[in-house]
Amino acid sequence: MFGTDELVSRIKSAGLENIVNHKIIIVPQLGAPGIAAHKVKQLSGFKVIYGPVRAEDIPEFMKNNMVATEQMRRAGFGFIDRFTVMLAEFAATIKILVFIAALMVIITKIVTGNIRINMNLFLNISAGFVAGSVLGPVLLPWLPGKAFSVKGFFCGVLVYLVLTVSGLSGTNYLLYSGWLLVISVVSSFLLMNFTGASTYTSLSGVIKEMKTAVPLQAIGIVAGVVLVIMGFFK
Amino acid sequence: MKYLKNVVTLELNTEKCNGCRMCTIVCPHGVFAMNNGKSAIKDRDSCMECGACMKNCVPGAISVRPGVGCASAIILSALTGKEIACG
Repeated sequence: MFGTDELVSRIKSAGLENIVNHKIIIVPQLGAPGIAAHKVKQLSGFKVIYGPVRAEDIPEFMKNNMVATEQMRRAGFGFIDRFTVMLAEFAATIKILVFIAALMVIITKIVTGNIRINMNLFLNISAGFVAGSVLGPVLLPWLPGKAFSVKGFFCGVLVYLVLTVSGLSGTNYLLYSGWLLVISVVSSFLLMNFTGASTYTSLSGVIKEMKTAVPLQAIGIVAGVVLVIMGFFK
Repeated sequence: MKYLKNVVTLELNTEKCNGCRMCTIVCPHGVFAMNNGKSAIKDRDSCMECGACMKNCVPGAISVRPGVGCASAIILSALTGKEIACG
């Protein structure tokens, strides 16, 4: 994490005191978790002033004699923020989907001699991933519950309902129930993981929700997979 | 948006507070507000435990256990017994 020592060393190596005739350095407010302003002053002679959270507020901040409004000092988690962060996280999950597809190709080739990707199987697995890593972040404020694992679960159920209405969640009750579990648990787990990318979740809160969520997700995924496999061979 | 209630490890010792207001400046969620010249926690449940307040409190009046709430890192850390960072 960007820290006090790094800043002080950069101030010195850039020879800042010979370049500017004042002793003020503006640090973006979100740098504050890593910067002890008083220590920077002590070690470099430069006074840290914390600027606004968003760069777009800098002109107004400067016009205002480097005094920020309350709004300038707040980190939200609006749609644009969530969408941007979601894209980055999704790029990571895409690799897992590609890996799953590759696994299907290899396994079917070995077992049957031909390459067969069961599109329905791949679609349903992907549905869980898309629910938890794309739809969940986008719909976050409107999903029920405060815990992300709960929001993710409901998002998975929603996607499952769409699949069911389209006739894609199975052809017997083993498959119907199996896919409900698999999709909702995968979605729950992935959205729970999204807490690391959010701007308002605390570590303590994440630990608390995980203590309940993870064992349930583990049971759910095992039960779901067993039901799906049984449903395939029915 | 609000997360879970009554979970954060944030503590403020008003006796040590010197009224410098740094906590009200660095906090991205408006957790603190000045009250009679000293800081006070006004919105505890909005705290995300980033630690900026503790870091910038000269008299050490604030304590919090900082950390990024990254679920996969927490699981790995619990399984391996090591400190895992996110990303």
